[in-house]
This record gives sequence, C-alpha cells and structure tokens, in this order.
Amino acid sequence: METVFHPQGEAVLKALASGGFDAKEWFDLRSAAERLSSQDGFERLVCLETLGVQLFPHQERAVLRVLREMRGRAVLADEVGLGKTIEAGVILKEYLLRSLVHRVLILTPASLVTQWRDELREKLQIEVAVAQSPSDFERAPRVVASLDTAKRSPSCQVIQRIGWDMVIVDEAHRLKNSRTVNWKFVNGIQKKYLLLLTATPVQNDLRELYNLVTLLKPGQLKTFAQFKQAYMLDRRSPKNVRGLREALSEVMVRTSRRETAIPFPARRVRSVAVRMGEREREFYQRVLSLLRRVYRAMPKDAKNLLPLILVMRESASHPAAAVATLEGMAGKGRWDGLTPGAVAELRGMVEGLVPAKLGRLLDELEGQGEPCIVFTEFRATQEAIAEAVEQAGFPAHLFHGQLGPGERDRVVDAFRRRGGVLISTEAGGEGRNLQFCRRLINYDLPWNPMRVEQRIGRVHRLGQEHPVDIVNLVAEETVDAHVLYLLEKKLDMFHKVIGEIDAIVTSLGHGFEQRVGDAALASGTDGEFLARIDAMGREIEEACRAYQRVRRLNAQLLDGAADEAAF
Amino acid sequence: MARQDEIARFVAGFFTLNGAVLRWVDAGVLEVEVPEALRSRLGVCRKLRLAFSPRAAESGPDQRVEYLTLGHPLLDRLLDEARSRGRTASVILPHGLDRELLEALSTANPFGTRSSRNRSGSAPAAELREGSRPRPEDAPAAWRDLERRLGRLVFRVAGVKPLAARLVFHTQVMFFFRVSFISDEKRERTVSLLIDPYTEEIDRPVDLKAAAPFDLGSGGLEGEPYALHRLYRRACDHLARRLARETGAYQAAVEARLRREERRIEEYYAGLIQERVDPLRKLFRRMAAARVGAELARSWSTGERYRQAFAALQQEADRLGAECEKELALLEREKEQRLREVREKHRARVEITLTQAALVRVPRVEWRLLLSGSVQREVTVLYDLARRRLVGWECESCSGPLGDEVSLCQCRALVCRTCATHCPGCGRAVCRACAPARCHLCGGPVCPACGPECRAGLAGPGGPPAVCAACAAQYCGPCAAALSFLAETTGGERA
Repeated sequence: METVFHPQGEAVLKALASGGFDAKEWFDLRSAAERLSSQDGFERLVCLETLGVQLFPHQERAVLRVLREMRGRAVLADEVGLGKTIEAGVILKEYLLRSLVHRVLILTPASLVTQWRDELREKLQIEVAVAQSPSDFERAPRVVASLDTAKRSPSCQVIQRIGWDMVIVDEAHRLKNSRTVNWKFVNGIQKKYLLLLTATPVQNDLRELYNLVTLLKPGQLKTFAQFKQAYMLDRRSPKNVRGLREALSEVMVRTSRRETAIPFPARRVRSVAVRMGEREREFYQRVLSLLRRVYRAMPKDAKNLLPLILVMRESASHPAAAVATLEGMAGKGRWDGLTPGAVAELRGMVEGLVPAKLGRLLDELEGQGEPCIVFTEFRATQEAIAEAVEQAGFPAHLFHGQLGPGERDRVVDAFRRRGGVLISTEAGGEGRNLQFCRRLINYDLPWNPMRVEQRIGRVHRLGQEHPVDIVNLVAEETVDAHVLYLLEKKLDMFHKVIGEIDAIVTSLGHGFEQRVGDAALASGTDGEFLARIDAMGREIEEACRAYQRVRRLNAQLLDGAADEAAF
Repeated sequence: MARQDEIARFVAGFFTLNGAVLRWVDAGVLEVEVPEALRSRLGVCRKLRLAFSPRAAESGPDQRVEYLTLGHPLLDRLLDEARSRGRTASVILPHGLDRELLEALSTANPFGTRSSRNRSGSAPAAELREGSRPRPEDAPAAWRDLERRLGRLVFRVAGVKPLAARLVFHTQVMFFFRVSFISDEKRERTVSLLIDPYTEEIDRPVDLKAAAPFDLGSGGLEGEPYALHRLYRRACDHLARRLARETGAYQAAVEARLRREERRIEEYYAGLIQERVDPLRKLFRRMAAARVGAELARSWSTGERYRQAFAALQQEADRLGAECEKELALLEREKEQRLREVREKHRARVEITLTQAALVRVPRVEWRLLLSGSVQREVTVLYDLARRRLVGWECESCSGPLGDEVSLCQCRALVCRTCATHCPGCGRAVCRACAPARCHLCGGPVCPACGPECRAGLAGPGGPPAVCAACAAQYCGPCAAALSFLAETTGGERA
C-alpha cells in the first residue's frame, strides 16, 4: 500500500529550523483542532447535529447503511414523503466532510433543480452550482443539472470526460430502460459513488428494477437472462421473492411509511369562497378579456404566457398591482392588443378599490388570539394586507425576499415573541421552519401545487404539536377558484402525504401553471374554459390512480406487504 | 458528550486567544463578543451565542443560539483558522523546576548507602558518601522517585564518590503526525513521536499540556536544518514501521472488498459476452450440420440445397460476427471503465502529514561519579525527571540495559551483570570485550590473566577450547568422551 508523506511537513521543519516558534497557546489550540478534525471512519455521522432539519431514525439508519455496508452505491427507495433527498444530502455531506468526495454531479428533473440547490444550501450548507452551460460542469466542483439538459450534446461529452466522485440521480425511475439515452448517459459517466433516488423502482416491468440495479452495481443481479430465470415468472410477476429481496438488500434502502410511524399532526383545511364586489368583478372580467385578446394576437408558435398569467393572478390578488404590471407591458409596446388607453381605463377602475378578500381575511383573524401566517405571492398585496392588519390592531411582521439573512431572523424572532400576523411572500415558503405557529392563510394561491405544498410545509412538519389549520381564500368566478378546484378536489392535495403531490405532478409533465393559464386564455367562453379544466381534472385523477397502482406494486415487491403466495 | 466538551474547550480557547470577551450566560450558553478583526475573518456578527448541547441550544428561545458541533460551518472556520497557526513551539517541561528539588540536589546523595559484596566476597563493595539527605517530609515527589530509583543501583566497585550534581535540560524534538488511512473510507488519527537529537532514538512522547513556553531566541536545533531533516526522516521511518501491522490489516480489508467487486464485474461481463456469443455459436453448429448434410447427400440436388443453406448461414454468421465483434469491444471498454472505477474507489493509501513540531527541553539530573577499584573511572549518570528513569544507562559491552548491578571492568568499561564476570582465579571483573575467549562450558568470559586451557588439553580444530577458572576443574563433554575412549583402549585405566 502506498504511504505518502505530505510535503506540508517541509514547511513545519523549515519553521522549526528557523526558530520561528508560535506561541504555546496557539500550538495547543492547533493540537486540539487537529484532534477534532480527525475522521474515524463511518462510526458516527459527523454532520448530524448541524443539519437544518432533524433526521428521522429511519433516515439515520439508511444513511449509515449506505455509508458502512453499501459503500456509497445505493438505491434510496423510501416511500414518498420519507425524505430521500435529505438522506442523499446527508450521505453527500458525510463524504464531503471526510474529503472522500470533491466532484459531485446531481441530476434531477428540470422542475427540481433549484429545489435541490436550495435544500442542500439551507438544510445541509452544501453549495452547488446550477449548470447553465456545458463549461459549468468543468468549472464548478459540485453541480446540479436537469437530466434532460445534461444528456444533450455537448454537455454529455463534457460530463462523461470528467471523473466524478459522486453522482446522484433523483427520480431515478427515469433510468428504467437500458435502451434509452438516459440510461446509457448515466452508465457512461465515470463515478465512484452513485445514489439513485426513487420511490418506485418498479413501474410496470421487473426489468426496470434490473436495469436500475445494474446501472448501480453491474452484476449484482447477474445478467438479465440469469435474473429472468432466477426471479421472474413474467414481466410483472416475480418468483423467489425472498431471494430477490436478499439480493436487493445489498444495494437498496427502502422504508415504508408504516414502518416509520412518524407523528404528523392533522391538517384541517377550509376553503373560503369570497364573493367579489361589483366593481372588483367587473375589473377582473375586463382584465381577463383584455388578456385573452392579447393572447389571441400573439403568434401561435411564440406565445409567452408568463406575463399574462402573472397579471391574471395579480388581478385576483391585488388589482392595483395588476394594473401596474399592465402599464409596464403596455409601455414596452410589444404586446398587440394591449393599448395604453385600455390600461388607463383599468387604472381608473382600481382607484379606491378594496378587494373583498381583504375584508374576509380580517374576519378570519378576528377573535383568534394565536399567531397566524398569511401567504401571498405579491409584494403589493403584502403591503396592503400589512396596512389593513395593523389598522385592525394586530402586530404585522413582513417577511419577503428582499430582506437580508439577519433581518429575516429578526422578523421571525419578533413574530415568535410578539405573535400577531406574519405576512410572507414565497420567500418564507421555502426552507424556514415556523412550526411554532399552527394557523396558515393562503390569501392567494400559487398555481403550482409544489409551492402550495412548500407553504404548508412551513408549519406542518416535525415539531408541530397541534393540528394545523389551513384557510384558502379564493375569489369566486376567478381562474384561482378553478385552480383550487383542481388542487383540492382532483389532486386531493391537502390530504395527501408530503411528497405524493411531487410524484403525481411530476408524472403529469411540466407546466401545470402554464396549462391552467393556457386553458384560461385560449378559451373563448367560460364553458370552453370549464371543459378544459374538467379535462385536466380527469388527467390528474388518472395520474393519481396510476401513482397508486405503482405504489402498490412496489410495496408488494419490496416491502413484503402482500402475501408472498400471491406471486 | 466528551467530544462536545472538547469542542467547548477549543472554542473558548480560540476566542480567548483572539481577544474576544467570553461569558457563560444561561446554562451551557457561551456569549462571545467578537473583536472587529476576527469578525471580518470569520464572517460573523459582533455577538455570538453558542451552545454545545442541543438542550442548551433550545434553552434560549428569545435569542438565536448556535449549536456548535462538528460539521457546523462556524466550527469548521474556527478549526481552519486554528490550523493556520501553531505549527511549531519551543517548550520546557516543568518537572524539577522547583526549589526544593534543586536544594535536595545540592545537598543530598540519592545513591544510597547500601554496601554490597562482589561475587567472590573478597573485594569490598562501594561505600557511598553519607551526605545530608533531605528529610522525607520535605522531599518533593520527583526527588523521592529519583532517590528510589537511584537507591537501587549497586556498583560492584571499591568506591563510589559523587563529584558533582546539576540540573540540565536536553533538547528533544517532538513530531506530531496526522495519519490518514484512505480508500473508500477514511480513518485518521494523530501520532506523536519524540526523538532525541543526540542518540536519534525514538522516545515515549510526553504530555505537553503542562509544558511552559521557552524560547531564548537561539539554541536547540535552530540553524541545523540538516539535523532536523535527519531526525524527521528517522521519525518517518519509525512511524512507517510502527504502522506496518495496522496498514497491513487495513489493506487486507480493502483488498478483500475490491476483489469482491472485481469478481462481480468480471463475472457479469463474462456472462454478457457469453450471451452475445451464443447466437453465433448456434449458427456455427447449424453451419456444421449443413456442411455434413452436403457431404453426405445422396443426390446432387439435396447436396446443392445444403450447400446453399450453408452459404446463407455463412453470410448470416459474417454479419453476426461483425456485430458481435463491435458489441464485445463495447462491453470490454465498459468493463474496463467499471473496473477502473472500483479500483480508483478502493485505492488504499496512507497519507502522513507532519502537522506540528516542537522543541522540548527535558529536565534531567546529571551526576558525575568517580568509581574506584582496581581501576578508576569517572562516569555520568543521567536521570530523566519527566519520565522518571535513567537515560543512556547502557552496558558498554553488550549495549543492553545496564540494570541495577553495575561493574567496572579492567578495561574501564561499565558493564552489566551478565557481561561482568569476576574471575574466580584472581577476583577481577572481566567484561566480554576484555575476555580473549568464552568458556566453552558456561559461556562466560575467560579471564585474560587466568584463562586456562581445557584440563585434558585436547585440541579441537581451532586449538584447545577455552575454559574459565570456575569450570577449569571439570571435564568438558568432548574431553570426557575422549578420556573414556582412551581408557577403554588402554585397558580400563583412566587418563
């Protein structure tokens, strides 16, 4: 075995020879620092106490198994909502702290790239760069990228040229087919440690499981012909389940929800439909008509929906903000059908207009002695709510993305000490634990289900000791009301376990928000819009059913939930 | 929690050294007022509230308390900062630096007064000077240990006269190494070695916690880089030898894991290659059958049919063969990549880093004694106050430990009990070096003055065997055998 004497010793000798001694106190301090920095294998988790989150026992067990037994190559296949991302992050952190890993590549679906970056930063203090160009893969030592971006040329060649210490693939069931570019791309990456994250290693076919494990550890399940002979009756029916589970136990960590018994408090959700005043309704309808006109005027192949969706959401939240955005758009003169005159007319309508939701919000706050968090998407709405809340005699605390880290801490501390109402934009929806509060009001609703989930996750998490009250305020006859219908009735999102939404929405494909916007703007009539929403609802229901089917299949195969005789 | 206590001590020490104001507030919460210069270096605010246990961290809900433990970014920064300094030190061990010991040293004789007789009982043993000894109740512990140790010494000479005693400080070098065993896991520990510049021997390290800084600006090993490098190399060699067993065990475990991984990969790809080649093999069998069919055909038309089938199969085999070749090359490349990955992952190595080094002044008491008997000699006895043992107390004949019973040979060498033999003939001490030969019966040195030859006087191939005075009266085995042979051949008379 190679024994290397580090050249750093020369500097020490030189200092000693020159008689340039350090103070004894610093010498002792350094001795203590050296002792504390020494790593002792994987006997214990070094980063455990510093996490921004508390690790559940099943997560700690999983991490230790991956480090000690699987030696950094594993499929993390916990059921949804049990924190696979954190497990992977902790494993990564442990390797980083031991200097065993330097170059890290994280491949995720496009929708989760920033979420990964933020979670690693906030919960594990790991900085990763989001790859914007192929050169980023070479430049940054730790990179997160979408699998779809990474597998494309020239990124693909750059990535495969580099020797990565660790590769993490989220939603790894996308690598189920060994004939796909995805599988071949990941297989071609040089890597020492590999973590594959998926709650559903098997989706339809046992071969998917084989492909995943073979990607991780070629030969663990022998060749496919041997695997088929040993463990398959047909593509969906395994045989010798015990033997298969044994072979899988060397590479796969899976915890089912019933094994964990995580004590989550109940969610009590109430959706309040608010009837808009006459002027407000008229304003909303006129804005919607205007936006539809603009939409129709846009060329078919270059429809930029995001500004239009923003205005639609603003007009249901804070009409003045919507007009301000429209004025900005009209000023640029790039939107056909959006004339300054039409916008000026709208400006006239919002003078002195108080949204009906604001009054209802104060009603909700009235008589409640305990602290409450009000979420809104817009700064203008936040200011208006703060003014109304303070006038009503409640202490108001504003939390938004423009606050520095220290200011954010101060606001949360003040809210914790003084109570009252914390009015937060999406900045408070991510990463911050506010479980000392159990009341949450969604003044307006993000159209992206994942963001709604993040908001709820601020209070409905480990450490919350009381049932959580969630109130959704929504103005009747608005697009927001239809979004709420889809989320509440079709997706059943307020009663699903954390993480399930993620799995279902991901399976729906990208752009839930855009699809709703498209449906609202492209529809000529309300009837047409309703038909489109219904179609989306059916699609969501089918995705939910498919998700349940896959979940059952995995539970039967991997958890031993079903009677083995059934196979 | 022992680790957390250590962290707490480190953090408190770090901030104190950097001029911060520290205050333990609530139970277990350390409030630190960080000086301006340090603030910018660490990127922290003016006031920090730090806890070293989760309970303490939760005890102050009104203000943010950082729970500092390994992996916390602030602690990482403090550790880095601490490791950027404190590489070297010059210290003095405080043992013996008390007045009472020095007083005892100037007035007392620790060599005891016991007398002893030499083996023959004829020569008088040393009678040591009856000095004024410190009263036991006054004597410091270090002196009592010293007295106990030196009191055990017995000099088998006529007289021992202490000439002078003094306290000296010998400079030794202490190296601190971080040893990292690295493969697919990492194990680290700190090893310290103390080396004596004069003897170049590795000594037991001492605890430097109690040591005091001592830097006169010169002396020690400053300006002697060559000597220092030599000591460092010697320490490295010693360390490598010392770690050999541990390294071997670590390597064996890693290699076992690697072999398992390699075997899995080899078997997998062998299986894949087999599966790829199988269709080709089947095709060859069919071709062989077609050829045999053509040869054995009874009619020309049947033969032709077989020949055509053979040609078609051959074409198919060529196509499949080319495809297979490509696939096999691909598989081979993939296998090599997988093997490279596992080999890289399991590449075991030991990284040894010299992290710190210190010059350590070790206090020793030095006596000069005059030993007198048939010859006289002045000797120096060095007693290490820190380790409570004699230094360089080696037999000048065999280089082994000198032990408690010391003799002075005619050649003026100080020898141990084993090496020193008092000649039964003349009574003088004879060391191994002085003896011209060893007694072929007892193995002891043969006195050069009295050394008789074998009584029977039979000469071996190298001349007559030597025998010491004590064994001279006996017959050795060969002599006895020779004499009995002679007796038999000469009619029963013994020679």
